[in-house]
Amino acid sequence: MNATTGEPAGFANEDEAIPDVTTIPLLQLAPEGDRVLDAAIRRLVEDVVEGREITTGFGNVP
Amino acid sequence: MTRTPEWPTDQDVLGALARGFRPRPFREFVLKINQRCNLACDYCYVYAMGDHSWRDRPSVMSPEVLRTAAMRVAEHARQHDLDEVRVVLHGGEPLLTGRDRLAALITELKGTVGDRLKIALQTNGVLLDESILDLFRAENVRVGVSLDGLGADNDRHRRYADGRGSAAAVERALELLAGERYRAVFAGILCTVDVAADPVPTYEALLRYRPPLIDFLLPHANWARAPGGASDAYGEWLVAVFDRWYDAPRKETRIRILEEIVNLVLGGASRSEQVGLSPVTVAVVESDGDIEQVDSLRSAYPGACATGLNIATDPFDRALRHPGIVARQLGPAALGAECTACPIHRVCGAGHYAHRYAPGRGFRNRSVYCRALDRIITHVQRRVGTDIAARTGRSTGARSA
Repeated sequence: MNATTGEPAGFANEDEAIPDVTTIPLLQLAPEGDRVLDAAIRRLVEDVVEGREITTGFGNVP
Repeated sequence: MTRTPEWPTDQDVLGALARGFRPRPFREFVLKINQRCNLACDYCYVYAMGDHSWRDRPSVMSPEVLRTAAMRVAEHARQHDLDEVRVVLHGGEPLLTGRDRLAALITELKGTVGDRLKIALQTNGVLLDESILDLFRAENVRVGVSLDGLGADNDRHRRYADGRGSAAAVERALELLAGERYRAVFAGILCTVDVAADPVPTYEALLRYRPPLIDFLLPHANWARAPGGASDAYGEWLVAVFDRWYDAPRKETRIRILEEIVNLVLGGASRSEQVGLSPVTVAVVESDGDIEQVDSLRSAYPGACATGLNIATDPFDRALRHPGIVARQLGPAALGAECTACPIHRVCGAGHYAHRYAPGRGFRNRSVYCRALDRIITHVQRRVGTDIAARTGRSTGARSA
């Protein structure tokens, strides 16, 4: 923890290395694989295409 | 004892409404059908963190309260034209209610709320047997089970009052749920993280039961009640699980907190109250009919989840204007300055609301798990960013805000 700002150590430096993938059109990737990232892209594309309103549910139940 | 107003109880709700805030209707209703439990877990926010309100409530939700709750859920769904609402049967331990009473309760809920109703139940698993699972299978009630990993790791915290561990009984229940007969009603496993346990063996122990979803929960803590172990350790723990899960050649299961972080990193919105800024649309009904906020707030201070409303006299719409409910639907406006200045605040969302609490300041603070969240989120950003860049042949840009 940064003793002066109270922020987690390394925030400023790490920012430079964090890639921003939110600007990439995921629909063009058309993932058909079975890996975690493939499923994540499909799910997000479905959310957008279906226009789902995303809200947060109760944390103490799956 | 009168409490000095803290955020959000000192929040100007009418002002927020005047500025254009419109509450989102509740979509999930947690019914505390049984206030007692047959385990005495050492981290339980209901019994072990200083809020003893359960002692003053009926141990079992009466048929009258259940009937009124069902009517209020149906009323709310109708008024807001909701296609689907979910009722979560919770406790205490909801299976202490008994099979026949559960069957009657499910019939009452379905008969009153109708086709838009989905029902789930969260249990410690000790009493889960074929007769109850057959009921859930017939009624399409999805069931989640709590297990904290390998037997000894689970039994460190999840014990009977006499000190015996619960793992053996829970594992028998999970064997049933892992089988073909009951898989359709298996919702998943909740596992509270213990940094003393090895992360990857813990994940793999849960994976044996083929759960459709695992949720790793950070133990409830806040700025007055420090986590058991350094915040850094929780970040490293989640990173180890993430790499094991993410690098598998096939997705083996869903891990909610990690799945939602990936989704947020990709630009989506979260369905988990552990990360992100999505509006929380949950109301809790206690066994006496009191309408409350998410009950994990009990870990902050006694009475933290109270609204002063009761289903006998108040529709759920009235709760939508309670400062505590409004606060959880404000998105970034609910964050403190130190969070909004942080480059990952849209993904982190200041973490679980209960983990932000500080006496005197209320809930408008960064999470007591701030370092852990920073560690896991920046790790996921790097991993996902690198993979997306490789797939697109692009170099990735740097996130600036």
